[in-house]
Amino acid sequence: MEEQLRQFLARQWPDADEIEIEEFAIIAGGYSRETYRFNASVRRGAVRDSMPMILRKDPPVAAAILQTSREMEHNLLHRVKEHTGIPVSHSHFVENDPVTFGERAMLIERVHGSGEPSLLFHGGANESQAESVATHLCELLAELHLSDVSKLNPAGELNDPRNEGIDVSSWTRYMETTFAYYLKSYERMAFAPIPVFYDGFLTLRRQKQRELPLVLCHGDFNPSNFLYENGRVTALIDWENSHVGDPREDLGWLALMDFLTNTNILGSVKEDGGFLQHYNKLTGFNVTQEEVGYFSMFSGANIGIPVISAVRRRLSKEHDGLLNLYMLLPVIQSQMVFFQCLGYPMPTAGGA
Amino acid sequence: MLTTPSIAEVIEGIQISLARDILPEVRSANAQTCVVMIQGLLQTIAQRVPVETQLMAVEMNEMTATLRDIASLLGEASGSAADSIRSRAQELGSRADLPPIPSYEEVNGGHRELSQGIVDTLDDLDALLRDGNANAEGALARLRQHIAPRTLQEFAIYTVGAGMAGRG
Repeated sequence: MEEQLRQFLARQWPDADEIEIEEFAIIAGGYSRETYRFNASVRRGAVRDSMPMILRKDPPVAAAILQTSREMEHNLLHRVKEHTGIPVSHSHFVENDPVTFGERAMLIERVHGSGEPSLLFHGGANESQAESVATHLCELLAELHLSDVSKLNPAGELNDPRNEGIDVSSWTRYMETTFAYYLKSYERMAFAPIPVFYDGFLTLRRQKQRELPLVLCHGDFNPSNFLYENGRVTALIDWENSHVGDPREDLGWLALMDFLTNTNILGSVKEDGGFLQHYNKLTGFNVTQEEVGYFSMFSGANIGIPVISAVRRRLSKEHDGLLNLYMLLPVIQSQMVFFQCLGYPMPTAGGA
Repeated sequence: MLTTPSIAEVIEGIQISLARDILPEVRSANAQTCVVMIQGLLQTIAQRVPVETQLMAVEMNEMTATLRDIASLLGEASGSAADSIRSRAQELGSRADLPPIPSYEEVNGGHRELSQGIVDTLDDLDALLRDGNANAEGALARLRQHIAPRTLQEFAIYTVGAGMAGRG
């Protein structure tokens, strides 16, 4: 892989006299993409630069948890950098030819900062930074949701990035077409009957919410998708599931993942009385806790459908990777969010 | 509970990963041997789990019958050993036979069919609710009364500590 990288960078930087790949290593924990860290040491004449980089590569199609486009992510990173103050990695290159790295890939800047949110909570080494990091994260989310969608999505490729018939011509059409996508998807994802998910999908359709402006959603706004340092977020990462949608989706997904990853982002903001209150003050969206619960289910379905479909492909032996078997754990644990949001009764002694 | 994947399928997935992802990275001969031992032990679990309950039940019934037969074959033999066998046959051999326990495949198939029936009922109740049927809400509540404890059971089974592996 190092030699493939060196040759690729030599083609991109024909003015470089010498390129070396240093400290190449896989980064553990990326569930949807294979990610590798390295330094590109580039000499031009007498000057040598060391560039910290990440190779972000698609897994084989059958094993992929999310089928997303590296080119779309590359373009979006450029637009976020250009049109907002949100810190993101610079995306250097995208390679759509799978021959080069085995699958499609992109090369992005490796931003400094810790990617270990667990150190912020429960007595972790960075606990003193938790409040300021969570507050900054809240402010970045508000900024994203207030950004001009037409600038971040000028050609409309984030309207329906999965090509599932999502119509963003209005909030109502967006919700209706998304419900149709969820229900249609149940059949192809359910490796076994999963009543609580199906109940959730049907209930989402029956219990429509109030309308809010459609915005650019990060799409995977969870505690593992940011880096931090000295009490500030240094980068929001993993924009591959970005799409035009309801801003409450990012809040709902954060709430769900805060629960699943045993972090406490939502409980760490004190400004204005809490994360949601601070977000509401910044955006004026007046999102309620109940709406966050509803959109936990909504966004849980959005990401759950491709994830559970990947588990199903594993169980039907289309591939034999361990990750998609392990993903059963969060998938089944996430049923509890549906359980709570649907108001399921707690069993009483002696049963129903 | 969620019966897919089966325990055997999960173990097979672990074995594949041990062989492909772990073993090639293991440097010491001792650790390599440990991985091979783990593979062997996992294989025994995969083979044991689907038949364990049925085999225990069958063997229990056979043991009670055997203890009775042994005592009967000894006839009127005297002495403490013979008395002990007769006493054991009376005590342990008088246990009532367990009913036959259905095979894993039979229970799994039935469970899946009924679970699909629950999902299909959710669909029908949704149609009734959207049509404004006055009784559908109560019927849905009854269905959720069934789904709730099984969801809690699944959560308990699939929760193995805080957080998600590798996610910082």
